[in-house]
Amino acid sequence: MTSQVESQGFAVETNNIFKSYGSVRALKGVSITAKAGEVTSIIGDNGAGKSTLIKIIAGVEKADEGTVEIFGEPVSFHSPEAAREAGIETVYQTLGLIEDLTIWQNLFLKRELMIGIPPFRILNKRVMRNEAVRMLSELDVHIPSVKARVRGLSGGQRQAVAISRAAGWSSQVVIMDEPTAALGVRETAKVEELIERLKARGLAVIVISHNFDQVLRLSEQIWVMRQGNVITGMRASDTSGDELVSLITGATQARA
Amino acid sequence: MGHIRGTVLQTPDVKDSGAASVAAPDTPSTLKRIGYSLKSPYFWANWTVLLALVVAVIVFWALSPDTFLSSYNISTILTAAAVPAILVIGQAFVVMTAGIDLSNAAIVTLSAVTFGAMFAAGQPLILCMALAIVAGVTAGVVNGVVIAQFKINDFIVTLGMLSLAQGVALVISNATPVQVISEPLATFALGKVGVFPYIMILAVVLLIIAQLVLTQTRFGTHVLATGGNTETARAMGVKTKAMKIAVYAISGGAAGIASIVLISRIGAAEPSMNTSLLLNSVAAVVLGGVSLFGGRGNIVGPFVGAILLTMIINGLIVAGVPQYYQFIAIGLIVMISAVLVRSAK
Amino acid sequence: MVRRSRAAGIMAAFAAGTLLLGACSSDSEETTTDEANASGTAGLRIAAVIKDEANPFFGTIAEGMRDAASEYGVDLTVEYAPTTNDEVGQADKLNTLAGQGFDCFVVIPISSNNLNQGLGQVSAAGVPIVNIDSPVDTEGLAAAGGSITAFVGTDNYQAGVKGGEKMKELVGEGASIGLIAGLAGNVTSNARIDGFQEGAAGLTFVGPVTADWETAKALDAAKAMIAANPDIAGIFAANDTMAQGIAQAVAESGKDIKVMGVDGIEPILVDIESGKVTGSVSQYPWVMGQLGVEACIVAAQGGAVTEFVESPAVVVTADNVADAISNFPQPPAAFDSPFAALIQK
Repeated sequence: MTSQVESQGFAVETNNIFKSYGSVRALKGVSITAKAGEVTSIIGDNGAGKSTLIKIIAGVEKADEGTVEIFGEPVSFHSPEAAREAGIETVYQTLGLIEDLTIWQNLFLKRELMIGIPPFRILNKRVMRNEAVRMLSELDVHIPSVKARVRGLSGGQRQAVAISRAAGWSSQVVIMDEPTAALGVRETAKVEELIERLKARGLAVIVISHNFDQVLRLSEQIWVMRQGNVITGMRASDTSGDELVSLITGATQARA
Repeated sequence: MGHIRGTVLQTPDVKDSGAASVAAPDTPSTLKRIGYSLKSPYFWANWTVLLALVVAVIVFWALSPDTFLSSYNISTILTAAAVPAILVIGQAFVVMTAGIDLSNAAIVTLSAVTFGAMFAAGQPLILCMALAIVAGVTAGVVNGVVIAQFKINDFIVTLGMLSLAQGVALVISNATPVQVISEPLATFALGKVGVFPYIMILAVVLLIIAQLVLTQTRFGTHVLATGGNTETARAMGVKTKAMKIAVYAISGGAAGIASIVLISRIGAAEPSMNTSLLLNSVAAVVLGGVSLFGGRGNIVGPFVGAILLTMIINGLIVAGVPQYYQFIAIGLIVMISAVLVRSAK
Repeated sequence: MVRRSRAAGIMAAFAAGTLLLGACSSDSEETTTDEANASGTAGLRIAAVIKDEANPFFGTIAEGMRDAASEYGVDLTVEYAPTTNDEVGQADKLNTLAGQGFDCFVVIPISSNNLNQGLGQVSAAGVPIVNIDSPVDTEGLAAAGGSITAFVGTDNYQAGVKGGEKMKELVGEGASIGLIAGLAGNVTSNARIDGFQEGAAGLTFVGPVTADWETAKALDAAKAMIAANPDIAGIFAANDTMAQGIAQAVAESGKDIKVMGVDGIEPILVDIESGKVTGSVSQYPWVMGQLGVEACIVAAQGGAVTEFVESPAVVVTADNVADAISNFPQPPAAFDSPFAALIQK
């Protein structure tokens, strides 16, 4: 099924990933791929193992067994930071931004630009603010001021900031967990626009979503997960909303 | 400054959309800006304490016009405020990570008796002071490691340290105070530049350093990030455990420095703990607008809070208000400020 | 906007409240001044900084001071230490009063050194200091540039001796006696305990154990002592508030154990009458307060005062408790003030 894309090389490839939390087996040998310049969606019912899988790719969790390859290179991230350094950025559903910090502080968290001679180095705030403005404007994100704190932003604005951060660091892979779950129609459209822009810039985008219309609209590749396994993978152009629903529903029946 | 100047694609109908892509509004008029900042919780959190300070100064000045603002009395207030102000710097860092240090007053005692033991053994003053600070930092690191590494509630850990530090202090001192009669220390405790006592100048220098560390360094941003949302900060690669250990170490170090000032003021290293120092440090942090949930605040606010609390006691004494009312006034002011900061949210 | 006005309302309420508090106090201040008659003592202002209010002993001292102040028509301000062992808090109160042009100070320091720096400033301004009850460390004070004009107090060692002699008489040779001390290393406590051991020479002693002058701590300490030494025949406490705790422990044990304290506070007299407490080496706290103010008046008028005035102590037991109660707060037996004649009316 994946033969047609295999020849072009994958941005991300997981091979036979296993992960257990105590007696709960969250992943039972999961293999997926994602290509650069494409949106790859992972769908499945709650508890199917989608979030665990992306946490492993993002370095938040470690796999018990199996490998992750980035552009053909096997990687083993000990921390999210290591994954970020390797060009893998994640936009989490809940662990997104730090509300009490400003937009620019969030954009540069852990990547602060410094000025001065060690050990007397201080934050180069002016440059970071200007850079933050540039990062946002590159994706056509409009927010009153980068000096505003995230707490005062709407859900859509927050997601836009989080996506700008993910895209702004010469990253190659951007992972998004339910990027539009909490958003209204209009904000969802804006975020989808941003995802399209990331794709256009040649990034590999991996999205977890429950919204089948969105999945079909945005993605090139779709993986369906059920109870810790990948049931099937397909090109978005080869499937329909009804088929996706029946695959998921099948999972629900299988569970019952 | 800082506004996005990119092309505006959207119609700015902010009211019903709240969309991600909102046009940058025209530069707001100064009046609008003031209105905006008055509605911001950050404004109230940051300025309540200063406002309260101004109100308190006016009230006490009206009550005791001859004495309250005399240069003697101002310098008395500043002298009395030095120890709590130094302690509150450490407490503020801890509270910004959503923690609390209930052991700081006990660590002051531990540091003080360490100083006293060295002094009694005839060690040079500078060594006594260094070891007092080392003792404080050590106790703070123990707090931080237990809290961060073993994920144990900060309240429990520092309450344990309160007893532990007091106990160790009693063992070291054999429960006996050590007289510390030292010319340089006495000069330090009594000296002034104008109305500013040396010990308050020390506190202000520490304040400036702390405020710069908080606002101008990576460390400060990471402390706030850890307090704002530990999980997110960790996911972004912030070393949240190290941040927690560091803030408790800072609090311990501040307690160590405070113990030196305390010894210089009372001329002895005492093995008994002064609980009002602990209560004042927590109250001052709240007064200063640092959220007990972490992630927000500055050092200047709590510092001013510590001065305010000291000033209120002083002002009530000067006005001849009996002791009972002094306690009531402090309690009311702490509660009212907490409500003010809260209601502004 | 709603939030803003709420905040402002609270602020206004706070301001009004503080003003109200202040208004009450300044009224009372005026009335005391009005009482002053046109005598040689008129217009004299005396400040007293004493220990905590939690101990009725100091309340009685304050009563003696107030009675003397109204008798001579002088203005008196009394400040208590914030808590039993808040040394620096007490020092801050003294410092606050030191700048207000008082004519004389009466002080009871928490520790022998904690008030030294403030007293040094008082002396530097040429204002006399009368030290009562607990002695200031005169060498330490000299280092801070101060000196004591007069000391009025019980010879604590002799008070201990009296208690020891009485205890020996009650329990007989060879009996075992528990000792409970105040704050560790406290001069007053040590003198009383040492004196007691001399007076009761020939008995066996258990302890001393420190209970920080606190009733609850003394209760626990006495319980442990009784459990560990079943043959104990009596317990001596360095003050009455601790003796009250011991009496409770003895009552719980159901044993016949003699309890003796020092001070002669009003509640202990009631306990002696009811048989809960065997006796107390009663000082004359009211007299001490009275003498303190009188010595201050003499010194402020430029008269010569005796440097050391011993305030007497008498053992109160069931035999003489009726007189002690009926005379309270004045002493069980008449006492002539050596200062009364020196005051220029």
